[in-house]
Amino acid sequence: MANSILQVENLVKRYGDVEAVRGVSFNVEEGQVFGLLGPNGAGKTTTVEILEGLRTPDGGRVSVCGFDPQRDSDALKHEIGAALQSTSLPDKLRVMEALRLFASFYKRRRNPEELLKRFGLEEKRNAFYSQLSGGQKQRLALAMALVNDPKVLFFDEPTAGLDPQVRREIYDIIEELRREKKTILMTTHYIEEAERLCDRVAIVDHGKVIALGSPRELKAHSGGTTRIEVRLARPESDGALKRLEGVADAREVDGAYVIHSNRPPQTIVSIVKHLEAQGNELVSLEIASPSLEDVFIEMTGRRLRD
Amino acid sequence: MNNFTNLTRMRIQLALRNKMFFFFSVIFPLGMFFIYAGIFAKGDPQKVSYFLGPVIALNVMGSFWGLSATLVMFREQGILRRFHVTPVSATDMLASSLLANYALTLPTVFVELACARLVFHVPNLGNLLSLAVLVTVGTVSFGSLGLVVASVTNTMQETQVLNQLIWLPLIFLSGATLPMGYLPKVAQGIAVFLPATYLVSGLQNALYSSFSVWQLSIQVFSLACWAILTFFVAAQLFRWEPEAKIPRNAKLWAAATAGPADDSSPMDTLLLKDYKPRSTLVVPETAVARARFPAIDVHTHSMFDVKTEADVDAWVRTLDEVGVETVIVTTDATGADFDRQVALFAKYPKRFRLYCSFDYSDIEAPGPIDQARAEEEMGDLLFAITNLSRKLGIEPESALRRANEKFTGRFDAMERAFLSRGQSLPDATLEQMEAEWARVKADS
Repeated sequence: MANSILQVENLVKRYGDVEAVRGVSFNVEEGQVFGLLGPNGAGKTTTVEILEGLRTPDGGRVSVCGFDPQRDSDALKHEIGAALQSTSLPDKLRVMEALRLFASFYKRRRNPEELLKRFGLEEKRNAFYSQLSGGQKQRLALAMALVNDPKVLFFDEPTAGLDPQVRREIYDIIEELRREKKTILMTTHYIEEAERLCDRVAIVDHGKVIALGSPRELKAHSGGTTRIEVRLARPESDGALKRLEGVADAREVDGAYVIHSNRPPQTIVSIVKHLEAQGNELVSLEIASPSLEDVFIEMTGRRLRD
Repeated sequence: MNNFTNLTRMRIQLALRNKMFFFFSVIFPLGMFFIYAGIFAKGDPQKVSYFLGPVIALNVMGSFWGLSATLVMFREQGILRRFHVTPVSATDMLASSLLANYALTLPTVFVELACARLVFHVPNLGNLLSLAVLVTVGTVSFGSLGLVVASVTNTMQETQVLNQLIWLPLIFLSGATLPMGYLPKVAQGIAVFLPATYLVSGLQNALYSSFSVWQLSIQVFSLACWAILTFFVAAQLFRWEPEAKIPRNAKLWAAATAGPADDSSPMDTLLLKDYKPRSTLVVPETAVARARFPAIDVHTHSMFDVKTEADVDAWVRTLDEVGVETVIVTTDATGADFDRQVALFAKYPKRFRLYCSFDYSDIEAPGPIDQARAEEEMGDLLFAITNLSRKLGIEPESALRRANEKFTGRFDAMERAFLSRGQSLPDATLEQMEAEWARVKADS
């Protein structure tokens, strides 16, 4: 893995007494879309900011495009592009001016006109930043991340706070970049986003990587089973549910029971029979193919969504 | 260099699109000019020429105000954060702020000079080179001061408060509004250390007395030193991120210009495991072998170690030794017991004052409840509750019925829970019932 474009080894970052990042390691290969998936406060943004050279790590080794973000910060910044969380531009800066200004900071540049067209901002070229909608602002942020034709892109929660329609627009953009074999490191707390956009995903919780692999590998790891989620009128022991037909695993999560089954039809019948015998009742039942959420539940016993 | 010029151009563009900028950097200074020239100088060319120095000084000094506000706004809104991931350096950012500010200040100064010449017919504008040098060095100095203010404050409110605090001494102590001679001696002493004083006196001498740069070397040198110091401090303190704190070593530099208040207490960060409290009851001991004046021991107990008259005699000898004249003895005794104590101390009626205790002997004895009185009290209570319901518009009977239903419902649920576990309510222990009751209550 010596030639990975992005290498993170045992990264540690503390804020006072709080360890935000506790020994994170992963590599990203050129042309890959790599996702850091985890709940808010898991340490994703801190990790990304260290890779961008914005923060100083307290331990571990980091290399981005062969540079140490601490020592070679100036050289590194020419090679990376970023759409950060909680950033903005001056209200009275026009869209085209912003692209031109930011392009002017770099040795290698892309044509701002072409970016404007590609991100659907042609009509807004003379609009002030303050006149853009949330989605347009985010498209501009992504366009600005590309002005220097960077070797690595960092997208920190690229769709947070956007409505579903706009979120899909952003997905299309990232998928197009993926087809062009751009190297992207993105963070997200949306499962759908990680499954759809990423070649590889590191699931992060409390500053640690708890699972790492392609979305398919991770899901296969959780048994390739079907997920049946039931709510019951009265509590039931996990043990009894585990003994039912075809059940690979059963556990209580936030008052519901998440059951993984190899043979869903048989399992459902036996759940119903079992409950009848116990005088218990089924309140709701949901069947889904497994997602990265199940991997997260399996590792932490919690749900990813807040 | 490229980044620096492009950022400067952006800053100038943004300022020109900002209405606030026009008010504070163009309208306001020109208004001041016309007040000074028209009202104070009454349009007399000689006097206008005299007041021109202070007017331009005010204009130049005002630089720090806009610069600090813009930079803090850029930081609060995450604009600086966006620049931070680009190759733009802190020096690019700060230096472009200063140059843009300089470029935006000059036109107003030109307009003021032109008005003085054309509207008020001031015969000559003194030494123009000295004027240019002072305006340049002054704008950079006060712009840098604004950059320092931006770095030591965290929010726009803090920035505005600090700006006010800086602005008042600048305009009142520098000679810009009041001639120095009018100020009390103490204020004149402070004024000598204010860079604003050098700017005002320098500009006045350049415009009114046509002093050369050489003759104004003290003023120019002082301002230049101050400009370099403040720019250096601003670069040390610069922060890209809104949440970033001022670097520790840089805090010392902050003290050189303005000290931000640190209101955090050590208790804010103290962990429980590190908390080692010391009782305030433990005080340093001061041994006094003998009281200088006759003393009274106001509270002592005697029941354990003073049993015989010999014990009492021994106690009196000790009291004489340490200089205690009288002792108040709390005996904790009642009845016959107390009488025995009195007899024990009878030999020294002046030395000991004995207190008896309360008689608690019958406190646990059962007694009849006064049923009639209890009934009256209960009645009062119900009446008060009923009246309160009436006042709140609640029908008391239906309220009570609801409470009954709630209780019955919960009790049923509890019973069913026990039955479902194959247990009957009468068999359950009080703890089990309590636990189940709490669960049922939490559910409903």
